[in-house]
Amino acid sequence: MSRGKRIVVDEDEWARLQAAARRLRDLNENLPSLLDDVRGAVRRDLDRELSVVADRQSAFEGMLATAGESVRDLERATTVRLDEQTRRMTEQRTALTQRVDTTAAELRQETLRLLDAERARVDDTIARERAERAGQVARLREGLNDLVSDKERAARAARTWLADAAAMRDFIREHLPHERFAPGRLAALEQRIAMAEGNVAAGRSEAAISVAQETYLQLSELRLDLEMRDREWRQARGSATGQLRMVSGLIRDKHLCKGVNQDDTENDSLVEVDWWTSGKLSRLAVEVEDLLEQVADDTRAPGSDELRDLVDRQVPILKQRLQEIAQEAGALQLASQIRANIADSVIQVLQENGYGLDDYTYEGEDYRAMLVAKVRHNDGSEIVIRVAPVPGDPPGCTLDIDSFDTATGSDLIRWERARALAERLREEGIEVREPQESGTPDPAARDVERLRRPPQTRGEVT
Amino acid sequence: MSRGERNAVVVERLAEALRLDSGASILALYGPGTGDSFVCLDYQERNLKPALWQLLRSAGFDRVVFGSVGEPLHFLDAESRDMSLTGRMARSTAAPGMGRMRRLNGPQGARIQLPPPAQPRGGTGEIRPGGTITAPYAVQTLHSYMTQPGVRTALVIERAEDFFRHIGAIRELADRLGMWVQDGVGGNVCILVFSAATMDGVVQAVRDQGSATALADYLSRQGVNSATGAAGRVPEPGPAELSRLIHLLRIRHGLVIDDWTEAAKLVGLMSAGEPQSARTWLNRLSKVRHLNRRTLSAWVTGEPDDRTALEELTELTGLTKVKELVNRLRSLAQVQAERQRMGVPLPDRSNHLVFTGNPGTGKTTVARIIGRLYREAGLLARGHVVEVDTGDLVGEFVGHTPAKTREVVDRALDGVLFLDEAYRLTEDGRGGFNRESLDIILTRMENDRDRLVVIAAGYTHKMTEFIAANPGLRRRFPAQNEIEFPDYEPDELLQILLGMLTAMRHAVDPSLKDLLKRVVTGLYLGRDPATFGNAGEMRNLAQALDEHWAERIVRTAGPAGLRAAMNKPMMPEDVPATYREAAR
Repeated sequence: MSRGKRIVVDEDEWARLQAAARRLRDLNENLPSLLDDVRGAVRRDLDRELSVVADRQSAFEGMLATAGESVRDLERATTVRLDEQTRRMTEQRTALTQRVDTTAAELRQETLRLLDAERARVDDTIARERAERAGQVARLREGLNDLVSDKERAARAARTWLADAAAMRDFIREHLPHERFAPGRLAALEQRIAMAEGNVAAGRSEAAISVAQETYLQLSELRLDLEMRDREWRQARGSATGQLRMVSGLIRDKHLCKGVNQDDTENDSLVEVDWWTSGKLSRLAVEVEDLLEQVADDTRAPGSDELRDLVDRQVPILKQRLQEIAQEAGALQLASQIRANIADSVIQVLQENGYGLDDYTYEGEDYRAMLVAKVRHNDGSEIVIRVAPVPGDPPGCTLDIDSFDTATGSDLIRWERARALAERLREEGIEVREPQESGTPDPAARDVERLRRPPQTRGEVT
Repeated sequence: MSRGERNAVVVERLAEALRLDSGASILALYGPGTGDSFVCLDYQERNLKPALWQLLRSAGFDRVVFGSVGEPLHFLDAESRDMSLTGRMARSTAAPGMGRMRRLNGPQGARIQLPPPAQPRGGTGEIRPGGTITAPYAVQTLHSYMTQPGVRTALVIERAEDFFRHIGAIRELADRLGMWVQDGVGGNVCILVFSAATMDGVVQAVRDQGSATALADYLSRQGVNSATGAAGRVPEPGPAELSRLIHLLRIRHGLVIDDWTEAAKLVGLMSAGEPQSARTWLNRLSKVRHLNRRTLSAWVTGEPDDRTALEELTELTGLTKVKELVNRLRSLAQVQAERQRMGVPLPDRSNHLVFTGNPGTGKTTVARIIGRLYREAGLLARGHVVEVDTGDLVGEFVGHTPAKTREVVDRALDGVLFLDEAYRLTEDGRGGFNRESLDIILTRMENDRDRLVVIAAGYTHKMTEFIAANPGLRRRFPAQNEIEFPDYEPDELLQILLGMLTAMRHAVDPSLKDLLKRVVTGLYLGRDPATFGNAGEMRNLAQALDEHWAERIVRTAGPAGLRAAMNKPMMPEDVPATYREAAR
């Protein structure tokens, strides 16, 4: 007949033991060094986007220098509008990157507000531009009547308008992401230019002028449209990159956390978050780096709406996940400590009862694993205490106390001892169930030295 | 501290009571001293526990373990504790009975994250004073200590009655105790300390537990033989310890001993009378500044005067033959005491006495004087007299008598057991209880012969039959130790009677004196030699005279003149008619 007796902890007890470990951990987003880093990166990102805009603007101005008089007049108002928008972008960059007292949350909210304001302005500007174009088209139509009487002049004017339209077409094709923001529009206008060219070649100057003028105006509108959309997108990309960099910085910052206590305060112990969560933190870091790469790549980068969604929805989710990972690591570390404490309480009780601590280890010397301790009595009896983790939120654990009596004596006495031990543990605050018969004791369970080795080196079949 | 130095701190009464040389694995201590303080040979005051610890360590025990209700397993010294550590990491953590020490390390080091119990346990608010070992484990651990070879272990169970009553695993403990008795434990001992005053109280207390019947039987057997058994009575302090106690108080409280030449007598006075605990003496003497006979007389009754026992005997009326014998005994006692001092082996000689004679011949008075004489000669530690008759010794139910007898003998240890009408103990009847009592007394006379003097008294003819009834009695009461107390002569009786009347503040008219002489002579001549009451008869006569005198003066003086009439002498007419008959 078996001599082992087993005592296990009541499951309900764990909920109480782990109560405090449930609270989410503060991400410490507002670390000054982290905010500084992020601000610097965001500034560089926005500067890069601004310089792309500035380069394009000067290229446009170069093109305009060779354009006809009427075109230069036509573009004057648009140029004013774009200059105005450039100034605003610069102001926003300053607002987003130079206020040292902004918190990370405020920064993100400000970013979202600016993006939304910009979207409204862009839509408004484009609408006004479009209305203005309609007026310009009407005025040009009126001037057309003068030209038709002079075929030579008309042919010259038609060629000039065609050249300007072609220059604008080439500019758009070269400098602006027309396929991203206005797919097919440029191709349609190119057909119109070809039609106008056909008209010129056929001597139908009147029709050619009309088509060339209208095409130019539509190209000009398309250019402004694209310019505004692109600027909005670049601003959104800069902001999204900044927010992703923030997440990336937080992940780096959370690599090592302080240990938490039952009462939710922190202690001096260090939690290596990635190790405790078995790689969850590095997987999150890889995900964020992938997103950053994708956003930075012009060919793969998402659109403005997606970028806004990234800032608005995805970044908070990433942060939330980071928080959860850090919290999980803290909870796992705390649970491991509690396992040691529980084993310790049991050992204290057993020490008071004539047993001495013989050896103890976390299985495979891994704090994440089961804790095994063995106590030994003068008479050769041994008791093995196992506190094993149970995955979950919060993490739980099971306590097994197996006695290996070597001394002679009746089973009645062993029951009496097991019950007395259970009673003492309850007095210590460990809610255990009544002892049970534990079956034939497994001699391997007493070999603490073997359990100290990593599982793969024990040569056992699992 | 070396072993030799340790030997210096033992105290006699404990060392004598603890029968380490009996070879038994379970020893018992009981008696009034188990709750007392001890003034040890190093002039330090200790309770039983530290005194016992010193004693056991000096007796060569490597480990001394204590068990009590509050702390079923604990140690007094680190050496004993360290010997009891088990497990490779035990030294860095804790030991049974030594409280909490280091914690297991987790990822946060030794930090405690386990929340306290949700609600207080137990409900009774009971606090365990230090020891939290549970009974079944305590028994398991104690058993392992007792059976561990190579470490000589003494286990002391304090207040064993309570321990047995309150320990949760009494059945297991009883089993283990049985194993220790039966199989032996290789020189280890378990000492059960009982607070009961008598061995029968001890046995009864253990028997009351129900589960430890075998232990009760074992203790009962040990109790029968008080000299060699494994049970020892711890008495009140003897003269040597009382002498140290006086010195301790001199040093500690500045007690002044007025006359150093009297110190031994003072100790003698303290030893006389009802025995007192060291604690009582410490308490009493710490409240006085001077120690002299007068201070002591406040507490020691029965010896109010400064006379020596011999002086007192000399002053007694008559008893010429008694005085001669006592003188001889006294000389012998002095020689014996001197022999003891010189280390000369003492001839095996009985100090027990038989006093024969009619009632009222001064036997009890002489017994008290004998006790004091023996004490003054150093033959008895205290010399007090416990005076009993058959009713004090014999019970009415089976098993009652041994308890009563042993209790009486225990009380008389170091003094005199005065058995009045001793012959009754050989009489048949009372279910044989008389004989049972006598057997116990005879055994104790043998076993405790250095601590007990028995004086058997009774009518001469009945005592002759008594001695003859049992060969053991003759051996213990040799013929030369028999003292005959003859009836008083008429002159002696008159002297006794007049002494009694004087003590009653009566003036005796000369005419009455003549009449009384004739009355007394008449009583003497007409007496039944087998039953004559002697001094008792004189007491009866004195009382009768007093009653008649009272009746006369109330009648003649009336209530108003009573106070003035109180001085009126006793006259011949105050002699009652029945006594007048004797005068003829």
